[in-house]
Amino acid sequence: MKALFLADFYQMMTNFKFYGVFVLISAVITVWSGIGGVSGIGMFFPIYAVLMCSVIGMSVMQLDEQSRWNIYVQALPCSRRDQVSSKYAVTLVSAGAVWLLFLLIYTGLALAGYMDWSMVLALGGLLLFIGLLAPAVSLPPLFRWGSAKGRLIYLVLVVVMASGLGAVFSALGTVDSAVDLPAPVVAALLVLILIALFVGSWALSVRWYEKREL
Amino acid sequence: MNAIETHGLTKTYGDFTLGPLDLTLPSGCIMGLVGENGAGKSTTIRLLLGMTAPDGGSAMVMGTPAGPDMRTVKQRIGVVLDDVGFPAGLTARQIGKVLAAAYENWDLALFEGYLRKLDIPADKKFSALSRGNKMKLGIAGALSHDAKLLVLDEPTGGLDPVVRDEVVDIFSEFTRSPERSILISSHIVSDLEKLCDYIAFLHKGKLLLCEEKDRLLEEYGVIQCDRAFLEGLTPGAILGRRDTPYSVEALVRRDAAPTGVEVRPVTVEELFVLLVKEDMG
Repeated sequence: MKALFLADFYQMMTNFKFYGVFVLISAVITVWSGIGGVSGIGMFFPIYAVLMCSVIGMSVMQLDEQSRWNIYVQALPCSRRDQVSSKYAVTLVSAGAVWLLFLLIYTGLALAGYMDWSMVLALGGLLLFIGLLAPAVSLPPLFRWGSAKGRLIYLVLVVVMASGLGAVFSALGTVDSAVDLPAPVVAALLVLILIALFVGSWALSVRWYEKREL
Repeated sequence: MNAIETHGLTKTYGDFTLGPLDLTLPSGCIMGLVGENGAGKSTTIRLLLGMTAPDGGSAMVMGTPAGPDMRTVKQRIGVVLDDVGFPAGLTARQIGKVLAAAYENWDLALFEGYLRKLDIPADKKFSALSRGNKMKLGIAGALSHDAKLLVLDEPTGGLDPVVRDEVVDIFSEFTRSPERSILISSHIVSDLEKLCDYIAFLHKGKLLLCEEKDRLLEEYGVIQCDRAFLEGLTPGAILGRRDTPYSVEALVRRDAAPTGVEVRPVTVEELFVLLVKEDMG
């Protein structure tokens, strides 16, 4: 798997450098808006940055199919499980790094007294959930049917997720009242659900990809 | 131990069926797989590498059943596919690092030596390389981890004659060691004639014949005669024919050739073309 991860990592660094620039700009805006209290703009940029980086694994898969690396890999001493694991690892690294960056920013804001700790936990959990939910749901279809159909499914999922989250927030009143819930409990629940979803998604992808005729 | 052994291997895609294939490649030998486009050469290679599951029969590669659990044996197989599919954004040097992580016996110095010898730009993105350079990089990758078996699908396609000759020499050199074997498919039959110990002819998914090359060239020959003479011969004696405006060339078994007629040696390419034409006629 090390070889495949290395190939994915090189592709990520070659093709998605500009994502890093966007993440840095988002980080600056978040700090700036955080000093004035977390506003809508302070939420939008971290969520967008995490979402954007969470699809890098899927984008690398598309590049693999274009260059037929996904076929060539079958001739190397690597299993299909390795191939799936590598894409999940890339997703975790890229989305996880951005999530960690914003968590550090929120922590810094909390230490400086611009944000309370319950907000840090709630936002941290929410960001992680949003960032990894889309790939957890979208990667299995990609491994089952390929990136062309998988992309369509991903777009549908984004719409469904956006509507779903909107409905959840409406039911709870507002975002503010949602984060008024006991923050550590919300964060812990979200992370637990996410871990279960991610592991289940990986297992399903392995199962489907091992059966797929390439 | 045989490097490759298949028994009744079959695979069906829509209206195309490959096989049943019975092939044996002894260790230390080179087998050439000859066939027109769509004959089933690449499918055979994919089946042997466990890249696709057969519908019937079995295949063993260096004593291991071909299938999804070939990880260990693949450490000892070097592969070049007809469409060398390395990631487009990676340089040859980065591809070397990826392959080094995949193969336990990766020899970086050897790989870099091949890059220099075959004149492959080390720091150019794979997508920016010419088809010939892509193929050369695939060959360098297949030769740099002490493989015991090379499986090569059209490896000389896209190479100019000088480099092709150099690459054929490298393959020849590879099998100096008696435990090393090569399965190679190619349209360029002259390369195979130079290189191979065994030749297998595939046509429309069927194995027309699989023999030692020297034996094939000894057993078969071509006679040139007029049509009337040819019609008078026993039908079973003629294995293939090619009509020209002035005469007919016929592929015959030397031992069944009519007496008093000069039988000239046949090349592997002629043998294949005449057999296929006969099958199509």
